[in-house]
Amino acid sequence: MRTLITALALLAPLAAHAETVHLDMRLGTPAVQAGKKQTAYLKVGLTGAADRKPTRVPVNVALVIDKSGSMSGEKIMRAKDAALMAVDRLGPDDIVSVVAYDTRVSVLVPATKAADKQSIREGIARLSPGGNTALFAGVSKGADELRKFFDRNRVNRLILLSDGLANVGPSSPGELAGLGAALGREGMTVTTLGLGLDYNEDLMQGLARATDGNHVFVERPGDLVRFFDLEFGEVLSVVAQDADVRIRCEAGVRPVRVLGREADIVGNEITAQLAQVLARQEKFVLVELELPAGEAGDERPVCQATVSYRDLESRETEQREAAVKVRYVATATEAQAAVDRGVMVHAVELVSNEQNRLAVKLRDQGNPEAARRILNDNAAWLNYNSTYYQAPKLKKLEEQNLDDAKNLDESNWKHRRKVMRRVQHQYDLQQSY
Amino acid sequence: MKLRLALVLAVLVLAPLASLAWLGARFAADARAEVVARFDEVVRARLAEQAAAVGRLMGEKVKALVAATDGFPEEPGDIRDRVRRDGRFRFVLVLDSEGRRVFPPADGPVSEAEEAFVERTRGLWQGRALGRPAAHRGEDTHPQRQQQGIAPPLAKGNQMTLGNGPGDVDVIQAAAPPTPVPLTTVATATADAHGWHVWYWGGGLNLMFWRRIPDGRLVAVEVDRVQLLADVVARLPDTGSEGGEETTALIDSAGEVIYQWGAWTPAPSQAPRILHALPAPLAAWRLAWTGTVPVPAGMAPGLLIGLVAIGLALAGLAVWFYRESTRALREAARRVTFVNQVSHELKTPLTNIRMYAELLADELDDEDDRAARHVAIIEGESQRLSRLIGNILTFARKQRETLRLRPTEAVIDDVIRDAIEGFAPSLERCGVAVAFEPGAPATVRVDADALGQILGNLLSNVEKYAHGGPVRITAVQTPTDTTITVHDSGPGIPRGDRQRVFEPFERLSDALEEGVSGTGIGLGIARDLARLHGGDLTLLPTERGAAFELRLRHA
Repeated sequence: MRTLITALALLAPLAAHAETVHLDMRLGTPAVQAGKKQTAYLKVGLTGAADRKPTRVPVNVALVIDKSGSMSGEKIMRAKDAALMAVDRLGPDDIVSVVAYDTRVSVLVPATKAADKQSIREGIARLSPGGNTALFAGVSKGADELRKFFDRNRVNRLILLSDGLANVGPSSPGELAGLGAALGREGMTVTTLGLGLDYNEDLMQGLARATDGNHVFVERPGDLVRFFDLEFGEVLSVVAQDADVRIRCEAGVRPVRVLGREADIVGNEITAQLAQVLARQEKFVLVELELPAGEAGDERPVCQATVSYRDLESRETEQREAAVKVRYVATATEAQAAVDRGVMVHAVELVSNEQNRLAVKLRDQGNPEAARRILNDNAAWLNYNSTYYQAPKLKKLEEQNLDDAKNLDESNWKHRRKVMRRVQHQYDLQQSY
Repeated sequence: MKLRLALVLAVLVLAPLASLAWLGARFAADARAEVVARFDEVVRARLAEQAAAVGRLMGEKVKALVAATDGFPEEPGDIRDRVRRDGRFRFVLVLDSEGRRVFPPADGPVSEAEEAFVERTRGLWQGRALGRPAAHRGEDTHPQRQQQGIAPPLAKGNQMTLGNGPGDVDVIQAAAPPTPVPLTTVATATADAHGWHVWYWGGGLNLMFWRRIPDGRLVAVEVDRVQLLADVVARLPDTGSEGGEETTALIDSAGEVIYQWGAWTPAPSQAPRILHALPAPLAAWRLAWTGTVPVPAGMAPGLLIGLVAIGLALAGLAVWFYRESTRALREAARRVTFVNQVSHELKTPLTNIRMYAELLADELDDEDDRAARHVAIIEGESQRLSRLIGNILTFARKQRETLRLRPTEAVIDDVIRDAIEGFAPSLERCGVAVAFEPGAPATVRVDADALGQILGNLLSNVEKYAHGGPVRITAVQTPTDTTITVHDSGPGIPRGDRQRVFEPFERLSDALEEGVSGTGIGLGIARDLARLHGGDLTLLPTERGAAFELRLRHA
């Protein structure tokens, strides 16, 4: 039976053209040296089929726009432009709502079909800045607009644009992350666009992360249109959602932790949720495992994964299964020869991401020296790995870390911290842009 | 005189106007109070409706959670599946019928998040509240409450559970340090009961839905506060583009604004006008309405117009009345002037008549009694006429306030004698015997003419009213004063009329004065002249007849 599942899993790539979502499960080290416990990285990845798209998945989008006093001038103008552009991309069956908030919340466009674009444009035109920042209430109201046409077969997404700190209602990053988690449980994702240098990146990034949504640092108002474009491009490329990933480890295999994403580990079982599966873009859960010592020549099953998701084309909940095995070999060279570079590079990215987060923490604690050391070490480590795994991708991340290390001083920190949070988010959740 | 009239008229206009204005203001204030009360009622009803919407939300949550806990699995793995698949759950606590925790399992594997949840809710599932770790107690007692500022409402029954059995009464220990009451002690019903459990910890209100499912287990579902807040916010109105001067806020147990709507921003110092608690179990959260009641400022316009109209009418009336009365006064003054001029004109021929009558009396033979008597009558009547004219001129001067004395050296006894002599013929005719007791022989400075006029008026009265009896005239003098008494033996003056006789144009009852002529100004003029002399003319109380006492002051 187990062999059969494994065979199916191996065959899966061949059948990719026929299925909406491709489940790719593999170990970074399919072969390990015998005789001792080994650490291994397991990737469970989901990719939407590239050539699918006879019909576009309908979307349900709420634009939640900060119109507090600080947004006045170019910012609000660009935000309007971006929102108008986004509305233009929507089809007549899509649903859109526009919520603006300052100290209070106004539903400028209640959830409505995007067919009547004129009234939506008029609603957006009513945006005028002033007041404080009731971010929590704005998101709550935006979520309520999504709820009106909520459908598991639509992409239900709230896009939040803010340039400031939340200061009315619940305002801590923890509370907003809690709100995100609740919305995520309901089946909504929140994309947060932080504009300028004054928003709270922990709050904005945490809110997006809790829903497995996107987060961007928009440095200049002029970039808003581009990011809205990217965001809507992603929304329109969603092929499946509400993916529930469950990984059961075989006896003796111990799940240590999940890198990058939120996940629950209970005993030998790991569960994680991926909000959306995109066409041509892999989203994955990366698990660090401890493998028991084996004898050379052994082949042992490691894990089996069950992934269920909502297929937005067939409008059915579908399920995929896969399993992996590990081979025990006599020498390290043999093991190295079998290494799956793709998985290992992802593992390196996520581990370096953890170091990067640690650097932010140290810098926050007022220890830029330690933070710089961590970042430089991290860069060195990335450099080593990029050579080792022949991965130019890691070079880029190395440069990023070196750049971070150079910008820890007071004058650059506000900006740099936002960049770091944005990059961390990008790698952790495999953001498409 | 005119000033007084103007004053009186002003009072006549202003008094009713003021009282009307006061009444109007009272009326307007009452009307305003009523508008305010009605407005408050409307706001209250609206808040109640909004609170009810939140109540319905909680009702839906209860329904959903009851449905979600139906056929609740037993195996931890299955419970986790249920929790994961259902967005309504976040964390679940399951106690068996004896109150022992069965999920998250104490012996099996748990996730980190579950472990944190177990710690957080230790007070709920651990039957002995005192047995909790000290760290927890420190966390959720006083510092927390001080930070909260406002104590959550304590009214019993306000925060009770929404269930329907004896076992669902969920007592909240909010006043005491917020030690959570163990669920086992509140959810004792064995039947299928459910309810809310509220406690205050970690920044405010915490809510747990509990249900005693039919197999005897107690399933408690933690309601995420943030999620609950978001749901409540979603149920409340948003801010429209228009709206009056009002704003409504949802405030939590710490008095912090969670959410507000209404385009108007009140001044920071403005306190909420109406507070309305949300229904249980969220009674610690309140809706606070702040705003201005749109009442008409000041009086109603209709009332103001009415007041102005009445004021104008009254003022017009007053002006008309003032003009009428001043015209009457002018008329009277003209008449006085006319009489005055006439009197002046009469004076000259009268003097001539008197002079020629005297000449004629001298020229008559002593035998011609008849003619002498006739001349005496002419003399007497012309004297009377000149007294009359003298009185009228004095009165006119008095009216014009030009009445002055012209004092000369004189002996008062002589002046009296002259006066008596002048009246002798007519008094004699009336049968009045004059008894004069002189007592003022000193030469003093008085206006002899004025004194003669006073005495003439007194004697004229005697002549008119006191026929047939003697009249006694006495004079008593001190270095500064002279007092003259004229006491007749006529019918006297009734007690009640004693003051009236001095008023101008006053004449006593007709019965006594048939055939008697008079102007009614004589006594008044006499008294005015006496008072100009620094003295007075008074009527003495007597047994019989009338007795006038004239007092004069002289230097």
